[in-house]
Amino acid sequence: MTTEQVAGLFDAGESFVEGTIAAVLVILWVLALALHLGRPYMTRTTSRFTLRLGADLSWIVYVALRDLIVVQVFLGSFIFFYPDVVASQDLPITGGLAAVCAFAVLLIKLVTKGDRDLNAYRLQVVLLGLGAVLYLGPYFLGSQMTMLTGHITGQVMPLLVTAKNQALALVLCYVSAALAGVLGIAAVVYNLREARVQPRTSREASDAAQR
Amino acid sequence: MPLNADDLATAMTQGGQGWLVLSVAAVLPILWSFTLVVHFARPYVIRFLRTLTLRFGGDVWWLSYVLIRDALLILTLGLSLIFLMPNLYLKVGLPITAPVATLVLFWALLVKLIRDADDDPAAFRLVSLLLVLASVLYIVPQIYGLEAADQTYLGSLPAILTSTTNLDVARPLLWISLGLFVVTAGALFVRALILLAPAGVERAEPQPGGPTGPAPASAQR
Repeated sequence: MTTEQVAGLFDAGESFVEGTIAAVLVILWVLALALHLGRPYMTRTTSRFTLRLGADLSWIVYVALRDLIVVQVFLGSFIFFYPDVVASQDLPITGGLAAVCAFAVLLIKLVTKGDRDLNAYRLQVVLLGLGAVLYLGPYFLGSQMTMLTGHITGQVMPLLVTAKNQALALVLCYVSAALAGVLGIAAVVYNLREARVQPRTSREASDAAQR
Repeated sequence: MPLNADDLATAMTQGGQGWLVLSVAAVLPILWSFTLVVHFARPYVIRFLRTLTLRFGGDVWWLSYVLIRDALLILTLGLSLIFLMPNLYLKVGLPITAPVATLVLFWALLVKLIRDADDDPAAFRLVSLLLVLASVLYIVPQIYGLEAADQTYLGSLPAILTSTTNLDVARPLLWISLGLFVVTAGALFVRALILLAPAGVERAEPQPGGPTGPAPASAQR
């Protein structure tokens, strides 16, 4: 074994990790969308509980799981903000924009009344649908077709894969990072403004609920 | 030229070490974002809390939130400690302001320790600003330094933002951060020693929010 081969071994390890993240994101995007679309089923199931404790816990688990998966989608999509990774790996070209959609969903959850605001919820579902299309489309028709050959494949696949369409991929990488940054600043400003109001702890909230 | 057994072992060990450290460095922006997302999700968490009908559910929700939020902060600080290790920071090549980010994160945790950021809006704002500052100090040089090293159109920007290629800035940043970190930790230790009460006195004090103790200050308002 030579020194270059040792370095190559670890480069391969890095590529494997990044490729695996991209593949896992497919599952996470589907889960995030499915759990949001499954809300009517969850509310129906929750309303059938005969014990209030069971209903509360069921709803808490659903909301926590649903929202944490959106957070995981955004965090996993962070690789789309890394210029070197975007330029060297076969990733879906609009993965960064999809990440912005996931982050926008989180921002909407933060600044609206959440589950009680149906219009905001609809907007979240629309954004998740858009994000899923932006991710799953180029992933299946681009990243997963790099080993195929054919007339249409040869024309479509290079357009949808970051390493094969670097000029567009890098522009989208920087634009996505900038959009995520703007949304992040909005979340921080909202929090700092909200902090002017004296926060309430769980006990006070529970007391208010019992009154 | 093929390596002999000793050289291969050295190359594998150094390669593995570099890979591990750079993997931690690459994962940290994600962890930082997770930390910020959970920290700034607070209004959403409180809003949902108010919709729960039982105190038990409310407590489970709130405690889970606080546990995840604070555990993430500790985990981020724990992993960030590698940036204060001279061999790694000055030889492997890491984000240039990473030691400063670690220090600022430590200060944010310090504020959380000595003030009640959950019930004191000013403390919450201070912690928030420190966290934002620390995350910017880490994420920007990581992404546009280490993760953009091959992007020639960026000119010397990636080299400026990487510790090994900008040692004139990296060295003072490391030693100043390390010094301030030690001073802060020392001050914290001394404060903890001074505030230690005799065991009997401590037990006699009611535990806020505990099973038999009074409600937290905010709930009594």
